[in-house]
Amino acid sequence: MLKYLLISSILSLIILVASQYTRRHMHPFEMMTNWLFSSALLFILSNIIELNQKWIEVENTKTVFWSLTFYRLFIIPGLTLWLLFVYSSKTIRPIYKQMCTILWFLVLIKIQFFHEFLGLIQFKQWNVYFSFLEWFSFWLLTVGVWGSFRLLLKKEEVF
Amino acid sequence: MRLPEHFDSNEWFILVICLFLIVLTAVLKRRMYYSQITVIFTLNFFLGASLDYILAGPPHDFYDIMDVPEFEVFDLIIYLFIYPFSGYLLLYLLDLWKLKRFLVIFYVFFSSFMTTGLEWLANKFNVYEHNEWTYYHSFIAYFLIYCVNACAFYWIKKARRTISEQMLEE
Repeated sequence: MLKYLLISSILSLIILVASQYTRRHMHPFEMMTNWLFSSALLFILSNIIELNQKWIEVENTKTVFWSLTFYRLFIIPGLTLWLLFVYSSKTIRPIYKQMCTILWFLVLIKIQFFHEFLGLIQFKQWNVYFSFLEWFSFWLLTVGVWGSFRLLLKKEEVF
Repeated sequence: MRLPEHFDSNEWFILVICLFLIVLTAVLKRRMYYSQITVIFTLNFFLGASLDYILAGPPHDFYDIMDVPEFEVFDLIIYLFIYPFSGYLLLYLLDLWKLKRFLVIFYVFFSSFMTTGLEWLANKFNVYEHNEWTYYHSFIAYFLIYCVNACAFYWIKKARRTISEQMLEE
């Protein structure tokens, strides 16, 4: 488990450094707002799914807790920021944007199943459809907030 | 998401504070752009949701919020309204009084002290229940949160100024 915590910390660091590249198409306000909003949303979703409904049971150790927290703080918001970066780019064709969205969904679903495979979490009443539904609602809210905030920035002539 | 088990003093306390903060924010003359306000609101929404998840949830479980240890609707109301609006008002006054250097540190220190006092009042209404948490921990946490807020505020101001200058040059 300690090895996995180390891997998630290194991944978090890589994602944090790599996210600087998204400044090419995104305003720092936009990057910060999306990162913080998606991370907060992940904590709320986790509270509902794991704490309230108990559809997923989490190993009650600090190593597992911090590994999963790194995912919610850095890795998933970072991946989401990259997806929004792809959306905001005018040079990328719409078909590639759609492909990136599918890839993003696949990666997030795969991560959840990988955590179950490693024994970090246990599925009680959970399957791939629920996982898709979770990421779809997350995607919908994140893209909705991003789109609205981008409109606001344009209205205030920030870019 | 769970609804409160009993609609009693803690729920009323949250609603009254919520209403007070919204009215106060609406009455005060806006000093920032909406985009800057959105960043401040999102920052405090994030700080509330993430810190409560880390500190109040398992395995740490330092304190409980509202009636049950699970996540309930009023927890979300706290994250969406109380933390963002209080964070905004803190920075609003910082901007209004144009505080510099030592005074900023004193302001953050004093605000943390006052917020700890408000937490004591909230405890009387059963909003929080401390397990292994003390007011000393709360004070340190508020001080750090307000420092993050103050740093974010100066960054937001600077970023906006740089953009305006760039636009003028163009």
